[in-house]
Amino acid sequence: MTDRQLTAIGRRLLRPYRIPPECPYLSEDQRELSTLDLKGRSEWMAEWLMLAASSRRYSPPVTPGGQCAQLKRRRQLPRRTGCQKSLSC
Amino acid sequence: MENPYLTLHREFREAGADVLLSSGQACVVFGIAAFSKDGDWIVRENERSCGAVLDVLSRHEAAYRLGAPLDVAWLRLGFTSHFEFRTPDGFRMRTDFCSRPPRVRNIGRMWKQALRTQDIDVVDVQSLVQLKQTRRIRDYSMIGALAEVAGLAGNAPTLALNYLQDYELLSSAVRKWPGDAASCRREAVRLLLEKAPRARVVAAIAIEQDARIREDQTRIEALRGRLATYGREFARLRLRWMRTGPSLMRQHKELTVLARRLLGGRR
Repeated sequence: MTDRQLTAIGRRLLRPYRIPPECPYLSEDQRELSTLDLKGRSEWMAEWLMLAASSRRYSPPVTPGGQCAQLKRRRQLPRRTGCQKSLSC
Repeated sequence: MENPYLTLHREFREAGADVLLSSGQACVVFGIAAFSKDGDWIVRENERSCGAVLDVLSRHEAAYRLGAPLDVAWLRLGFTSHFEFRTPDGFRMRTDFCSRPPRVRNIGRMWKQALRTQDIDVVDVQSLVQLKQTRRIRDYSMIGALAEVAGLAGNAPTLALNYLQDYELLSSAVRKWPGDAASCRREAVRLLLEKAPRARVVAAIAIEQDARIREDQTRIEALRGRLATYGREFARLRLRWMRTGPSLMRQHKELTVLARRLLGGRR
């Protein structure tokens, strides 16, 4: 692979593209993410971090009752698929 | 709202650091990972870049985590530097730096091939695939995904044939590029050309993954052995920092003294 080909491949992935439907590695989240431009991908990631931060910030004390409340609160957050979760880096 | 790791990247760049976004955040930028909990950068092995990164992190009141001081003396030995801080929004930012990413065979080419846009500088796809060959099994899904979107769908036979992690897609790649497949040294590709049973091809891919995982595990164990005393001393230092709250520059000076004593790396 030449240097020019390698650069072209990377640049293509930085623009919106479609993940082939038969791809076994990626979930609907990534399919959606890949169709966004860099700004959209950046906002997506920020949303994820915000959810993670708010989940931690409002966590009740770790007591049996607290854990239950925490789990209930987590269930109210937008859910991502298990497949996606395993593919986070 | 913007990904705070991209905001931080721009701060590094504006301060004069030559840095490349890599690993998980690079996967997010390339659209194949929805989330990454930390930020990894490859930093140019020079004092200007290290100093600029430290200046930016100082402004964020960052603290050192276990790792070497961010300095050319230790970066060139293959050590990494780690920091963390909280943003006013409450994000816990964890930032990791290296200058010689493991498994990337040609560092000069990696810098030459880096993708630079108005907003980001990111490592090229081939280097990303190489540095993702870690001991974590989930990274092989990322490698497979990159090999599919950049290799198979992107018409790059080298990437597809060498890094696809799935029988069906690798079979498609071999059918699509029989000439390139014939010159590929990968065992699974050779078996596909010989029309070996599916189970043997799948086993070859699994054995190959396992070999990469063991290589990375061996590398990390060797590093842990080298860092054992340093790690204990660092933990003491960190406890003291938690009580006294020194600036990052002060932490850097103290960590440099410790690293000179225990890690080598004198200029």
